[in-house]
Amino acid sequence: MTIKEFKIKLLPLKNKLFRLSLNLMNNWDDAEDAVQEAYLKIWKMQEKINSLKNIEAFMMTITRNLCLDKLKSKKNKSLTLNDEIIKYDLLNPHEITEQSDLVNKVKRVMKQLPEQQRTIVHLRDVEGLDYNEIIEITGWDMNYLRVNLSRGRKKIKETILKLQHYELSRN
Amino acid sequence: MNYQEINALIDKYYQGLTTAEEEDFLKDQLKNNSEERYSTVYSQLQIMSNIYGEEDVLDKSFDEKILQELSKTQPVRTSLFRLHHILSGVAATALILISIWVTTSLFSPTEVYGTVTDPIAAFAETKKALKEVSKNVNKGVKPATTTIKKAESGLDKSKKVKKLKTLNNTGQLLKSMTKVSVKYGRS
Repeated sequence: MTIKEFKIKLLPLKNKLFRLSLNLMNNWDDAEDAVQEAYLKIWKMQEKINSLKNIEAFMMTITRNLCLDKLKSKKNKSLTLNDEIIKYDLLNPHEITEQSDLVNKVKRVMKQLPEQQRTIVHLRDVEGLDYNEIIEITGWDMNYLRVNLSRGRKKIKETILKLQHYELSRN
Repeated sequence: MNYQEINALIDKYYQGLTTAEEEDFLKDQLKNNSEERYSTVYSQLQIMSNIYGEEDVLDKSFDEKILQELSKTQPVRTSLFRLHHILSGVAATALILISIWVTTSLFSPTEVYGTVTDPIAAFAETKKALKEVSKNVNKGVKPATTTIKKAESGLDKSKKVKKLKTLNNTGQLLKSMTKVSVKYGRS
């Protein structure tokens, strides 16, 4: 594959990969580094690229695996896979008054989800991938996928409900 | 709006069982519904599909960075390798074509110059050819005879030379025998 072909076929996927990476890493710089590493890695696997059926899914798999490796290596330093990234309490009215944007709230709730739920909710609800593509990226089976998607969606629903109740009580 | 269908779909959504089409249908049906249960679902569907904005993208500097890194790692011999690959392919193709040509030439029946297919014409030609051969054979008989005669006279001469040689050898032998008898006589 030439650099020109790489630019046309693979580089347009960068934002999709970045969103996945950001969802996992919760840090812009780390997410960007992970995506860069993913591109360099796939560049070295040129002989494999031509035989791939779904290069997008393959790149997302590489990106995800790189992010998980980075998170594991950071385990004792700052973040873990299941750690609460944002330490403040969403139910804290002061926080709620400061942050009125529902989207930001949901983003924060997602960050607090366990990695499996966060990944599945991101791939299904944010990126709109179908279950077969998600299975290809994660390697999980359909039941595992559905259970974690269900849990993730319910958690987000609870947050939205609480915020809506708070908004109503304020009004 | 069929509430039963909507409620069933909502339950399905939270069990993680809906398809993308069902979710789009649900979003469309709940758009203008203010009931809490439905507005929550609608909000969730709406938010999740738009959770990342224009600010959550990598800019062009990322592209430049990546392409710069790739150009560093791209091996120089790639272009030479490709040229070699192409030339090898051309050479292999040429070799195959040449071998096919040679093989077909060997196995294809060669047409002999002057071949005649008609049997009557062929017989006449054969007769003609044999006449020519016998003419030439007769032409060659006289010089052949002369040559044979010359060879025979040569043979005779060589026979005479052989006889002289034999006589000479016998003379030498007799001479040596005389010498020996004189030696024994002096004891």
